[in-house]
Amino acid sequence: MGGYWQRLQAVSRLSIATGLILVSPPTVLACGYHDDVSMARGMMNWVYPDALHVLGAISTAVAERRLPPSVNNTAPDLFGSRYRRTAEALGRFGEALGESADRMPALSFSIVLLEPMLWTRYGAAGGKLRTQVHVAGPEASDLVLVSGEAVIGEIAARRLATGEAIERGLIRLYGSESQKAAFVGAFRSAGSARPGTMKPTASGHAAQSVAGMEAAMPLQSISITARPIPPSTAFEAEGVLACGPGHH
Amino acid sequence: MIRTSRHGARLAALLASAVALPAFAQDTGTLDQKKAEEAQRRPPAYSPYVGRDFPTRPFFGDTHLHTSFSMDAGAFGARIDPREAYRFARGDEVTSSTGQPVKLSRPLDFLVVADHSDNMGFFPDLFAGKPEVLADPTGRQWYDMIQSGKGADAAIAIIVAFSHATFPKDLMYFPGTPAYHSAWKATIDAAEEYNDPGRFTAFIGYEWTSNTDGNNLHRNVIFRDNADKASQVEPFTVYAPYGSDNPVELWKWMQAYETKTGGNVLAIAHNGNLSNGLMFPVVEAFGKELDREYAETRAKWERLYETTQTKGTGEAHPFLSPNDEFAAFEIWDKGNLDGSVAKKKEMLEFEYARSALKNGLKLEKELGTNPYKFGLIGSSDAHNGLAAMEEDNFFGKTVPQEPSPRRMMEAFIDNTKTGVKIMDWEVSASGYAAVWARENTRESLWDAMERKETYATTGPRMIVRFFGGWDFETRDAEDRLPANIGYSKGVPMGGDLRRAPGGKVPTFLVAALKDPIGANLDRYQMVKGWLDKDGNVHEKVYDVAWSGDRQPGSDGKVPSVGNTVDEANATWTNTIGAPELIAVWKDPEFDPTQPAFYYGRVIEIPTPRWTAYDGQRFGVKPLPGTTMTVAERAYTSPIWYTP
Repeated sequence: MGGYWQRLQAVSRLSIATGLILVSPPTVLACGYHDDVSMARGMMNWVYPDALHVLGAISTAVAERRLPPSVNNTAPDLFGSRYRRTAEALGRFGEALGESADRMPALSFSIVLLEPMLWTRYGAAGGKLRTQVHVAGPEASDLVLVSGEAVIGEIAARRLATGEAIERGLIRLYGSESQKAAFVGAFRSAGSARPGTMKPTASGHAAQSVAGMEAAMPLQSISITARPIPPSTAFEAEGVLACGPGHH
Repeated sequence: MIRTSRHGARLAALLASAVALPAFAQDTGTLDQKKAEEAQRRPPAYSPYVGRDFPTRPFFGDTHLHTSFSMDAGAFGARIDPREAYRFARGDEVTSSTGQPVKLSRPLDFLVVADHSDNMGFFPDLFAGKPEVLADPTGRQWYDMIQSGKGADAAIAIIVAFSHATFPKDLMYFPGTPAYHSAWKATIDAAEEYNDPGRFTAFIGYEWTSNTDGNNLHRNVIFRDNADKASQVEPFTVYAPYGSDNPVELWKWMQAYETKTGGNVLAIAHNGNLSNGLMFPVVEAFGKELDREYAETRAKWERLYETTQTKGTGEAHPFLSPNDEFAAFEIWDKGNLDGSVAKKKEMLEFEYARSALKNGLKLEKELGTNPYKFGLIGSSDAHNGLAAMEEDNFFGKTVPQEPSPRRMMEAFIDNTKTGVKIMDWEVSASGYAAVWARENTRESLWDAMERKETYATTGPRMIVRFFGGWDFETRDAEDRLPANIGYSKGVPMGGDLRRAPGGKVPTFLVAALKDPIGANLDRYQMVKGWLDKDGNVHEKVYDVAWSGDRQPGSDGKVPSVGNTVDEANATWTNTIGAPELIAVWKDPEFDPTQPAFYYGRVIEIPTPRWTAYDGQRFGVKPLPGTTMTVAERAYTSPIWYTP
C-alpha cells in the first residue's frame, strides 16, 4: 500500500499546505493551472507515448453508448467509497483474467486507471494472479496496461472482453512484443459473457499480430465484433461512478 | 435609420453569396482621401471592383495558441507540437493528444503559436532525450528511469521537483542556453515551414507570461517578420536574471528588437479578468506612478487587446455595466489566475476592456496620451495545440478538457484555501481574431492589427463592418457595396474622428452578415463611452439594427429575439433572427466637446453551448447551474472621437 497514489496525495497536501503549487506556482510552470494528479496523468502521455489516447477511446465508446460514462463527482470522497468500489472492480478484473486463461502465463503486469491515476499490480505466481491494488507503480519488468475505470468495470462485470477493449484502444499495452502477445493470448476473452467462447479473430492468431505493431498500439488487426452494451440500471443512473467499478 | 433583412427567400442567395464572400465583405480597406479623389476622377468601369485598393475580406485566425512546447501544456500531456498545430489550423485532420481525430469546420487563415517563453520546449526535449537535457545529471536520471520502465517514478520525481521548487536550475530553459536556443529555433522553423503567403499565415510569436502572485499580466508577442529577423533574438522571459515580470521591461525588449533588426513586433494583453485589478492601472504600476511615457509606450506596443478567450470574456462586467443586459457573458470573476486571491468588486474596473477604454479617455486628459486606445480581438489560449473554438467542435483549453463524458464535471481551478473554484464547464469555446487585411500574408495581417482594423468573435465567423464619419446617410445602408461608401466617407474600425465639423454629429455605417454555417443575428449594438466636462466617464449601449419587426420598449431596448435551442438534443433553428443587419446610426447624444469612443457588438440568436453538445453526445447530465446555451457575439475595435 502507500506508494504512488498516497505519495501523490501527500505531495498534493503538502502543496496546498505550503502554497507551492496551487497558491504560488513554481517558476518552471507558467500558468498555475495544475494539480499533481492532472500532471501525473499528463506525463503519462510522454512516459508511455500516447497513453492518453485511452481517454479518447473511452470518450468514443461512451458516445457510441458502448461504454457507460464514468462521471466524476467533484465532491470529496469522505468515506472512501469510490476507492473501495474501484478496488473491488480491480479485484474482479483480476479474477476475470484468471478465469479466462487456459494456462496462466508467467506474466506480471501493472495497470493504471487514468482517472484517479491508481496503479494496481497483478503478480503471476504459482499459476495464479495476485492482485495488489494501490501500488507505487509498475515493477521495471512489468507489462504496463493503461485504461480507465469504466473499462475495468465493464470487464469485471463480464460485459466487455479484454480483447475487444484492446482492439478499441480502451486498454493500451506497453512492454515487449512477447509480453503483449502473452497477455493477449491468455486473457483476450476475459470479460466476455462466457469466458473462452469469444468469436475467433479475423486473423485467427492475435498473438502473432502483436509483433508487427508499434509497441504502444492497440491490437488493430484483431477483428472482434463489437456488441453494444445493454443498458443497465447502472448505466442509466446518474452521479458518482454510477457505472463504475464495484457498482454491479 | 434601421434596415433589417429577415430570413426567407433571400436566405439561400445570401448564404451562397456569403460563402463566396458577399459584396459588402469584399470591398474593404483603407482608402485615404487622395486615393478616393483619384478614384472619383477615373472614368467608371463596368466592373464595380476595378481599382479597389483596400482589404477585401476579414481573415480569421488565432493569435494565442499553445503547444507541447509550453511547459504547462506539456505537463498536462499535450503532444501536439507547433507543426501539428499549424497543420490543424490550416484545415488538416489531426489526432488530438487524447487520440481523437479532429478537424476544423473550415480552415483558419492564420495562426500564432504563442508558447510560453519561460522553459519553452522542455517537455518534448526531456522525453526525446535531447543532449542538452541529458547533460544534466538529474535530466539524465529522469530520462534513464523512463527508458528503464520506471517512467511512473520519473513522473513523480518531476512533480516533486516542481512542487518543491527544486527543479534543477541547469535544466531550466533560459535564454542564452543551447537548449532554449534550440526550442526557439524549432518554433521559428515550424512557422517558416507552414507560412504560405496568400493561403495561410503562420506567424512567429510567443507568450510573455508575467504571473506574479497569480495575477495575470500576460502578453502575446507577434512578429511581423520572418526568420531572418526573429532568429536574431530570443524571447523575453519573466524570471530573473534573464527577464522581468514588469510589462515596461517587455516593451523595452520590443524596442530593442526593432532597433536591432529593423523589424516589427506588437504585444497583445489578455485576461485582465484574472489580473485582480492590475491589467489596466490608472494610478500606478509596479510601484511607479503612471506618466506620459508609460501611456505613450503602452499605446505604442499594445495596439490590441484579447477580449475573449477560453478563460472568459472581458469586454464588460455586469457590476460595471448594470444597464447592459448582455454584459454577463462567459464571465470569470472569482479570483486571479491561480485562484490564490479571491476577487473584490473594486478590482473589476481595472480588468475589463470597456472600463479600460473609458479610463483611457480620462488618462488621456491627464497624461496627454491614452494608454488604453486598443482594438479588440479574440483568440483561444488553448493549451493542446488545437484552435478548435466552435461550440460543436470544442476541444477544450487543455488536454484534460478534450472531449470526454467527464469534462463537464471536473474542476478547472479549485483553491481550497481561498474557496475560488472554477469548473471545467465554465471554460468558454472562444474565440477567434478577425482581421481586415488586403491579403493573407504576415505583413498585411500584422499591419491590419497595428492599425486595429480587427474584431473579436467568440467563435463564429460572422462578417462585421463598422465605419464612422460625419456624413453617412440612411440610404448608405441600402447600398450593396457599403464598404466603398464606408471608406470614402469615413474611417473603419480602429480609426479616429477628430474635431467635429460645425453642427455635425458622428454617424456610423454598420453591417453584419451571419456566419455562413452559423446562426442568424439578433442585433447590432453600438457601445459608446465618453468623458464629460467634469472628468467623469459614462457608457451607453444602443440597439442599432435588429431582426424582425420588434419595437424598442420604453427603456429604448429591443425585446429578446427568442430562443429555439433544444438543449437536450443540442439543436436550434434559424427561424428567428436575420442573416444580415445593416444600418446607419447617428449619435443622438453627441457633445462635440467630449471625447468618446464607439464600438460595435453583434449578437447572434441563442445556440447550444458546447456543454449541450457534450450532454447529448455522451449521454451525461450536466451539473446543476451549467450554462447550456450561448449568444455568440463579435466586438469591433472602437472608433475614437477626439475634440
